[in-house]
Amino acid sequence: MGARTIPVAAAPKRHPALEYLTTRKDELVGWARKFSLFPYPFVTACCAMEFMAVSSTPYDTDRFGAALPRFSPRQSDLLMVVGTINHKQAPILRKVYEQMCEPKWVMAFGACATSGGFYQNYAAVAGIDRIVPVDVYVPGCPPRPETVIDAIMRLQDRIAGQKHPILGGGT
Amino acid sequence: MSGDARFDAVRAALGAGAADAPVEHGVLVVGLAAHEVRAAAGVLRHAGFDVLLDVTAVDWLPRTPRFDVVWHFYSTALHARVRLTAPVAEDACEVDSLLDLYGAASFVERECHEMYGIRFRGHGDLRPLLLYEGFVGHPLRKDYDKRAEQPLIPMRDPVAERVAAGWGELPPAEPARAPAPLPAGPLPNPVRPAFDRASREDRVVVNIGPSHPATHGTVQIITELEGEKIVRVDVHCGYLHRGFEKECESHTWHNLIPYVDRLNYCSALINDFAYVEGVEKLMGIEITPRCLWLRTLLSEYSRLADHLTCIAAALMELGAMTAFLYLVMLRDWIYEHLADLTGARVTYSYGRIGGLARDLPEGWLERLEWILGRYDEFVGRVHGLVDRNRIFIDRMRDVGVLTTAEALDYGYTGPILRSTGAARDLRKDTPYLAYAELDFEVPVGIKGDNYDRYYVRMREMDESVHMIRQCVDRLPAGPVDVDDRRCTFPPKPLVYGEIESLINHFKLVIDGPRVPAGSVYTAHESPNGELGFFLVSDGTGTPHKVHVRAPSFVHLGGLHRMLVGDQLADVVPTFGSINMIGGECDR
Repeated sequence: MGARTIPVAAAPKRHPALEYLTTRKDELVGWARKFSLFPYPFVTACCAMEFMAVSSTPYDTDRFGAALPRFSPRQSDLLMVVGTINHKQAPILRKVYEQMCEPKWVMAFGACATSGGFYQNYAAVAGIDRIVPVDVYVPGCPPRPETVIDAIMRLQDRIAGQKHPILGGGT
Repeated sequence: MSGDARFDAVRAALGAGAADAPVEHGVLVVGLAAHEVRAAAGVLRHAGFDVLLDVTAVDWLPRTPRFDVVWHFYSTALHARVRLTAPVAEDACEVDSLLDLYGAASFVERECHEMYGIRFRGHGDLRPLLLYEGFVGHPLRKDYDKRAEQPLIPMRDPVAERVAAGWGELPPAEPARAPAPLPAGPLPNPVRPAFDRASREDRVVVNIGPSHPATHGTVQIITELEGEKIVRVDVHCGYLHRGFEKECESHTWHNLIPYVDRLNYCSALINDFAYVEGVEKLMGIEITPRCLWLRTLLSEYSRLADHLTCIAAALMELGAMTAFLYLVMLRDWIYEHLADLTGARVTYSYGRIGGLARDLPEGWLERLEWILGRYDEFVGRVHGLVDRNRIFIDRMRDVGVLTTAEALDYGYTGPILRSTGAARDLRKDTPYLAYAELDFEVPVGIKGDNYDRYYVRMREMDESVHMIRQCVDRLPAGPVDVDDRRCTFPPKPLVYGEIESLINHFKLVIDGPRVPAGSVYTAHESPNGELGFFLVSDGTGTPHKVHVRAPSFVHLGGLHRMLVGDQLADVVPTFGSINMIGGECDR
C-alpha cells in the first residue's frame, strides 16, 4: 500500500507556435477600435426616421459594433449628425463635439448635414463641416439604411488604417 | 358659398363692418382696422369661436400700409372658420395681443413678431422663438435677403483647410479663404431663458435639451424644480428652423412639394395632399375620383406610419425596447411599400397639383393587405406588452393631464384634444377628400393624460386600417391626373412629339403653374392635429406667401401646462406623448 496519489490530468501539450500571434500595433489598435464605435446620435430632423430604421431589427447596426448609442458625448467616439443644423443649433453642436474625447469621428448623415441640402437660406448651415470637421459624408435625403451601413463600413476601414506612432508625434 | 347660415350670426355680431364680408373657400373673411381686432376677437370668442388657429402677416411691399396681419379662428361647435385681416403700416406695426382671450396666442404671436416685426401690445414676452438672441431683422419680410446668414459662432472653411492639409489646390478662380478662428471663451447661448436662477433658495433650475436623449426632436425645456416637482417651465424651440416659408417664396408652386414633405416627415403624404388641395382650390380644380380615393387611402396609411413612429419612440423612451422593435419593424414594411409606390422611404414628393405623381404599381394592393395583416399581429403584441403593464401605467396614468377647456384655450387639436374627451376630428366635422363616405369612429380619452394619448393613437390606427380597407374596396378606376394644362404635365411622348406640349411643359417647369390671385386656408386632420396651409397667390407661378399652421408648434405652446406639477422624470413620457415633430414645429 503505497501513498495514495491523486491523479492529475496531464497538462495539455501546448504548441508554442500557436501561443503567440504577431501583428502590427497599428493594425491591432485599428481592429479594436473599428468594432467598438460608440455613436452619439445628434438627431434633429427627417433623417431621424432613417436613423431609427437603421438601428433596429431589419438593418441592425449592432453587426458593426456601432449599435449602442451613448447619450453623453464624453462616452462616445462617433458623432452622428442626423439632420439639418441651423445657426441656432450651431453652438450646441460645437459644444457637443468639444466635449467628446479623442479619438473621435464625425458622420454627416444626410444631405442637410453634408451641404445644407436644399435649404440654402438664412437659417440653415450649409454643411456641418463649417462647424466641426467631418470624416464621412452620407448622401441622400434621407439616406437609405444601406447607404448608412456603407458609410459605417467605410469609416471602419478608415479607422483600421490609421497610424498610431509611439514616438515622434504626428498621425 | 355653402354653410352661410353658420356665418350669419357671426356677421351680425361683428357689426356693420362685417355685414357683407365674403366667404372665401369656406372661410368667412372679415377685413378690419387694426384697433378693431381685439374687440372683434372678443365677440368671436363669445360667439363660440373657441380656437385661435394662428396669427401671421402678409408683406405687400411696396404697398402702404405695408402689412396685413391675419388671424384664423375655428369654432368646434359650428365647424366654421373666420379670418380677420387688418392692414398695418410699417412705421407703426403694432396690434393688440389676444393673449388674455386665447392662450394659443402666446406662441403664434411671438412667431409673427420675430418673422415680420409686428409688435403685439400687451403680450409681454416677445423673445425670439424660432430665431435666436442677436438675430437682426425679420426674415419673412420681403426686403430681407433669403441668403443673409447671421452665424452665432465663426464658421470654418472646410475647403481651405483641406488645401492647407495638402489635399490639392483650389481652382484658381476661387481664392483660398482663411479658416475661421475658433471662438475664444464660452460659446454663445442662442436663447434667453425666462429665468436663469431659482425663485427660492431650496429650488433648483435644470435645463433639458436641446440635444437630449429623452427628447426626440430638438427642444429645450428649462425647468425649475422643488425637490423633484416641476414648478416653472420655459420651453424653447426653433432648433430646426430652416426657413421653410422663406424658401417657398422663391420656388414655383410645384417645386415646393418636396419642402412640404419635410414638415411632418413622419407622415409626409398628408402634408402633400393638404398643400396641393389648397392650390387646387385657388385654381378651381376638381380632382378625379380615383385620385380622391387614393389620397384618402394614402392619408390613412401615412397616419398609421406616423402613429407607429410616435408610439414606438415614446415606448422606447420608457424602456419598452421590444415594443419599439415590433413597431419599427412594421413601419419599415410600410416604408418599403411606399417606396415601391413613390420611390422614397420617408419623403415621397408624391402629391401633384391636380393629381398624383403616378398610379399604383402592379400588386401594390395585395402587398398592402399582407401588411395590414401583420399590423394586427404586431400591434396586438404591443397591446399585450404594455397596456396592463404596471410600470407603464404608473408612468402614464394621471401624468400630463389636460382638460378640454385648457386644450382648446391653447389651440390643441388632434389626438391630444381627443384624449381629453372632445370628439373633434376634421375628418368628421368638416369632411374633405372622401371621408364623408367612409365609416369610422372618433376614439376619445377619459382624462387627457399620457395613457389616454397613447390609447387614442392606438385606437386611431385601428380606425385607419378599417378605412384603408374600405378605400381599397371602393377604389374607382380611371385616370389619377386631371386633364388640365394649367397644372398637369403633358405626357412625355407628346413633349418630344409636338410643339404645343413642349411649350406647355417648358412653361410649367420654368414659370410654374399660374395660380389666380387670392388666398386660401385649407386644413387637413394630420396625425398631430389640424394642419393648415394659408396660401397667398399674387397671380404668378411662385407663391407670395405660404404659411403653415403647424399643430406641433401650437402644442408646444401649451406644454408648460402639462408639465408643471409633475415630476422631472415625467417630462419624458409627456413630451413623447405630444409627438412634437421638429420639421413641422420649427419649419
